[in-house]
Amino acid sequence: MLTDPAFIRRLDSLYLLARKVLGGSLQAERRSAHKGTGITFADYAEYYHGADYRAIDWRVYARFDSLVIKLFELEEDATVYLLVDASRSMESKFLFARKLAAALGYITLKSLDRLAVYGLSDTLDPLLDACRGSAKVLAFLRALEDAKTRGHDTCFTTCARVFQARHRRRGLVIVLSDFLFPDGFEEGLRFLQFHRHDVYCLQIQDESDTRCTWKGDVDLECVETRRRKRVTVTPREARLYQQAVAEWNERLRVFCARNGIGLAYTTTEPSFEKVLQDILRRGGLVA
Amino acid sequence: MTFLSPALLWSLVALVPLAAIYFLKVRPRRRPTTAYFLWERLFQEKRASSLFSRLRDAWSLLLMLLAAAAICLALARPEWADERKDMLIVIDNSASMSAREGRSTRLELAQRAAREIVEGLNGNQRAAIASISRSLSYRSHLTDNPRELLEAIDGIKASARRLDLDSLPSKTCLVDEAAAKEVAVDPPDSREQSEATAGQLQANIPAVGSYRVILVSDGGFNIDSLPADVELLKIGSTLENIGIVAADMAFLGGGTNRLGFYFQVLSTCRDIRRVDLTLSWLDEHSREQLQKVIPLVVQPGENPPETFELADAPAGRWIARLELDDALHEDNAAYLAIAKPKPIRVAVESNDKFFLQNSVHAFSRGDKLLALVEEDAEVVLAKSAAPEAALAMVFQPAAESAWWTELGEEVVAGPARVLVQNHPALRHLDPASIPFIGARQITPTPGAQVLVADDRGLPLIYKARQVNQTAIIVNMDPVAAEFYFSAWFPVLVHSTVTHLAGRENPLAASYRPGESVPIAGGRDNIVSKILGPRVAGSEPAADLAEVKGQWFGSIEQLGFYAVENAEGTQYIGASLFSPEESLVNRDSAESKHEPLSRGRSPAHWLTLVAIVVLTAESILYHRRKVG
Repeated sequence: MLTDPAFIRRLDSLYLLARKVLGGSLQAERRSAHKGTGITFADYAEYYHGADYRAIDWRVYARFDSLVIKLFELEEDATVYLLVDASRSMESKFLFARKLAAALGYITLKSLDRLAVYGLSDTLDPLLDACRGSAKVLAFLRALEDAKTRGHDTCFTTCARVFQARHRRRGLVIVLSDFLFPDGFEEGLRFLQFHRHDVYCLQIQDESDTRCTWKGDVDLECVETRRRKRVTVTPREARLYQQAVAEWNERLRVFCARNGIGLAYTTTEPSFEKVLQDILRRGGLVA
Repeated sequence: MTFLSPALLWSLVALVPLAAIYFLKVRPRRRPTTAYFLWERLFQEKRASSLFSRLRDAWSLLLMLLAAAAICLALARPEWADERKDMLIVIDNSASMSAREGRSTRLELAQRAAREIVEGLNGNQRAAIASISRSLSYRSHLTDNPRELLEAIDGIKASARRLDLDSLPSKTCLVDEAAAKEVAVDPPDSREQSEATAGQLQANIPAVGSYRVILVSDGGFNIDSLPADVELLKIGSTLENIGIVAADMAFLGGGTNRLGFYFQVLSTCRDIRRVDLTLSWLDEHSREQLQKVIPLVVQPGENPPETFELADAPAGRWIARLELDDALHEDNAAYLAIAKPKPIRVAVESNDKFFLQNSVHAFSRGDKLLALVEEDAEVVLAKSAAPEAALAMVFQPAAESAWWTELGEEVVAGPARVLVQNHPALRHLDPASIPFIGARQITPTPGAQVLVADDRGLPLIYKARQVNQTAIIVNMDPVAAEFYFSAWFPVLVHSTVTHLAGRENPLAASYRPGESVPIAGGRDNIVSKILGPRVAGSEPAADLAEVKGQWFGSIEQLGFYAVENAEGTQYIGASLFSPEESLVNRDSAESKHEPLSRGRSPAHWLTLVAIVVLTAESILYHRRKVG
């Protein structure tokens, strides 16, 4: 499905622009905040020992009798990491999440940026090793298509640590998940941010996450851990549950806002293109 | 407690399979959730109620067992261990039962208590309903049909009569249902005046066995007067009431329009009260015209009677009203009707008119009841003559007349004997002390009523009737007997003339309900139309009855009645005037009755418990199944 030509044509219409220009060794299509040896003037700086003589602005020296060097924007490639929640709690939303990931990854590869894709569950599962170039698109899509939900829990913090151990290179880390992590999301996000990754959260939830439509005696079962609990759900409990989910989501929103982490929330109702255009544009990721 | 169907207690065995079935729990549906940790957190906060949740299954089983047990016991028809005899429920509907107890009257409370007794019959005990005020009135047959009994209870209305316990039935017989069905019971809307019917009903009651008589009353009577075999179910509480227990009004002598007003009030209040007594006169449109306000200081208990005089007071209808809001309104007003009587026109036909004329004048200064006329007389006084008048009093019969068939020689009359005691014509008279000198052997016309005769049967005073004529013959020579000088002479003339004119019974200003009321000018051949009752501000009264004769005895309500006949219109006031009824509190009368099943039967309550329990279990079930 993700490798259908029609789907790929839909991906073609989307274009990813990194919210920030990230450091890299190859000169790609993205602009970088780092000053260097590009051709676009960026700023002046005082001359320091060892600086490139070619960068000295002699006109300034002639006028003010002080040595300054011109700085140019460095054009380099970006690294995008897609961390797709592949735990069983994403069962109903997994296809939608993969479509979004496919779109993001496709645009990344088409933009000559580096892309790595991982599945999150109780462990970090590599779906696509770091690669670059349009030639990797099909492999990327096939990897996504073959991905399955798995595991018995979602250990986001553990996954973040494993991810950081594998990729010390800074990049844009996009986490696609419902963020309903029993152990919380703060530690994992903070850990990624600490290692100077640009983190972006794409929260995907559907009605079964946010609403309780059943009442009465039920045997609650955790879709991941398979733990069970017999409870009686009255309208009051249903309301409290919905309130708890709303508070959880609000907690995520506040955390992201305080820590400069981009966040977008979506349900599975709209088409993924619309979501991508609306949400990511609002997040500044799409030009 | 006993069970009417104890065999059905075996149905309790059904509790065992019920419990077994209940233990076959239905597994709740599995609900996968992505936010299990949130649910866990939610129910961790509700740990306080988790004990109830854990016990809920046990609760449900317990409730189901309880409901099933209640139904089984109800099927066994439990009964309180009282005497399951047939009973006669007598509801007091006398005037004091109109006293208000909060929002209800005592009669309503009594009806409620009677309904509870009927509900306690539980369909296996028979009862009859009766009401009692001045007399006992049966309202239903002896039946176990609760609907009939309840309808009979609801049909009882308050009366203005006082309570007379003498009419309570004695414990000798009971209405047989089959026989009683043959007896016509008055319809509900006319049950208030059913003394005759009640008598008829009782007359047709065969004795079938003993029964209980339950009197539901406020105890407004002396408890000692209650028959020993009548059980009293007392209702009502201590109330404060002030009422008029006596009142009268009459024109006083010595003036033209001086009106005397007499009254007495009674109070059940514990302290002294200040109350205004208003005296109003009703004009021809029945509008009240306030004439006098009398401030009263009412002491607790019976107050001494008081009198007042009113100058230039008109005749007609008067209302004396206590301006207060107390328990019993009926005794706050006295309805008084006072009329200036038209004098009876009397003519004299005699050679010596002097003494006869003076006898007419003798009492006219006081009551102005007799007036001497030359023509158009109603009553003719005659001596030695037989006038052709419709009403005549004849002294010393002589010659031939239609009033006697034979008239013989003068005889010596023996001692006079009164043959008709308390005859109005002989009122205030002692005939034995009158010397009937000059009496002649006389044979009255057939049908004559001999009032006084001597020991040999010689008629001395008799009353004879023709087609349209009535005469009283006094067989004596008043001159020879020197009767003209006797004090009895004007008394005899006055009594006889008023009797002949149908005015021998002076009208009282007010009558109690149930009392017989004389009709001015009422005779057997005169029809009098009774209208009423009519009170101030009300619509004109409808025709109540048409009666012949001198008495009307159907006053049931308070207010003013009107009697219309050839004499004109006569007003009759009807007031409560009963210390027993106004004295709404009688501490001496307390409830005394054997154990009595009242209200719904135990089976009813058990069924109700079962319904409530099943409802509770249904709620629990609903919570379990659909939240």
